[in-house]
Amino acid sequence: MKQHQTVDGYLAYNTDDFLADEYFQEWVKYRRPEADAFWMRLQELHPEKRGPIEEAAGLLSQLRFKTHTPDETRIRRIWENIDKHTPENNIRRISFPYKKLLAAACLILVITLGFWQWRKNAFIYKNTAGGETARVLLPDHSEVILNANSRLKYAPDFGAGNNRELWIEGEAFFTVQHTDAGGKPQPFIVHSPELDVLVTGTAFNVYARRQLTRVVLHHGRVTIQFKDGREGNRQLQPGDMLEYGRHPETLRQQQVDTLRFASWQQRRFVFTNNTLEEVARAIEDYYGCKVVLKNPELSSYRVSAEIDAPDMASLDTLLSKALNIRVTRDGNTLLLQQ
Amino acid sequence: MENNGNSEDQVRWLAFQTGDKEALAYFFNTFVGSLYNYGLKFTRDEDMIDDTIQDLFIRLWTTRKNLSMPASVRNYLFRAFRNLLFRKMTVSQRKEKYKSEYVFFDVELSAETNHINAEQQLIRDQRLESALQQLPGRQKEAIYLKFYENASYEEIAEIMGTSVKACYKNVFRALSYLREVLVTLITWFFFRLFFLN
Repeated sequence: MKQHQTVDGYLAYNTDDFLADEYFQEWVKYRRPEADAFWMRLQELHPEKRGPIEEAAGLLSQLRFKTHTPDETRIRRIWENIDKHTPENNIRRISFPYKKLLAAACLILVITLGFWQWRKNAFIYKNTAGGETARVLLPDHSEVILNANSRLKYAPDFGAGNNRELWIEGEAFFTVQHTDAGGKPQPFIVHSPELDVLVTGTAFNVYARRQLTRVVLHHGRVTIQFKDGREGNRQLQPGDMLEYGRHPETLRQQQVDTLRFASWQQRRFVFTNNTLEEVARAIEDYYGCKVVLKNPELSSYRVSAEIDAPDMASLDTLLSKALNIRVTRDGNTLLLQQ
Repeated sequence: MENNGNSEDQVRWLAFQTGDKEALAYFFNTFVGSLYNYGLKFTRDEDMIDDTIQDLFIRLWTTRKNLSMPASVRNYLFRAFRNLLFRKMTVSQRKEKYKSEYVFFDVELSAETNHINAEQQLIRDQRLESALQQLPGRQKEAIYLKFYENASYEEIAEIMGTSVKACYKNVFRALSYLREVLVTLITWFFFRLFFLN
């Protein structure tokens, strides 16, 4: 369908062929001199083609299509819509190798920051296993003696802020050093699940197990803040014991023999006319095991004793000898029966 | 078409692909008239044509990074425009079945000749016009692209998505038919000249 630019190529052409020929169409439309010369020569050499050529040229010159020019406002409106939806990003694209490097640098930065932040916020944990007590010296030289089967938690920047805060589950004895922060006594706060103990400089015992919290103050002053806020704050005097339980609901504050509640520090069990039920709970607390009284009448059995806490292995024999009962062990459970 | 492989178009295309909004505006201003005219041949719904032109240039912009440089920007735009418009038309008229790809292609001839007298010219234009309307849509579109847009057969094939041979046939048949109409008309003019005067 390309134009035959040799005269011979057109010898077989009739009017319709000329009409559809591109070289011919171009000549009719533009009348370029070189094309003019070609078509004149063709007609001179082959006069029989003159008729078809004139006819075809006549028709083609009449084929002019009407133009509909869209008005200016229409075009402007179309462009405005296009403009709205084709946002231009002015940010130069960084070439690929730099992009990779930059991404890697960003990643490292993020990881470093994250790790630092995590380290900053990560708590220090001190856990004791069953039958094990631990002495923890805090950064402010306050001392915590952690009873067996207990967890203590505090922030690495303990004492850096306005407060000294730590969290206890289980039982611990605190000897708090008096410190000042910004010219004021720096409070020492022991958070237990149910209540907080606010201290300035003092020694006290916190017991927070099996939904019972017991605070025994040896000397100094502490303020008790209940978590649920219902009870209001309580001040403890030296020798005071505060016991708070939710199941069953108990709240009592009384003077006690404080040493009895601190005996565990010497790894001693001190029982004075306690029920066997209470002894069993004390064993459970200390060793982190379960104690089951097989016969119901056993629970009312009264015990008065001061014994050094034996290791787990010799506990069975000690109990059976001292109480004259049968002790069997099933995994982590001690069965006491007559 | 005149600016096939136009080097300005190619330079602008590269700028456009790197996100030069001015280049997009250049293509819009260069081709909006032709596209609008072309669109009017398929539908009288000018809002639909506006929408199609908008979609065309918005798509062009959003997909610019994935586009390769077309041999002719004009042909590329014509073809893309045609596809978009057909899709819109099919959606809006989906109840009416499209037998062929389309039925409507509306061309009008401009009255412009001074060879014969006004009366004869009027008659001739009317005949030619009505003959043109009787042509199938594809033939009309092909001769429109040929004589209005000065597209080559290859370019028409590219725009209409057919073979070069089919385009040639369409143009050939359309012109052949129009010629027959005119021959009949001219014969009639002569007849009237000799026997009625």
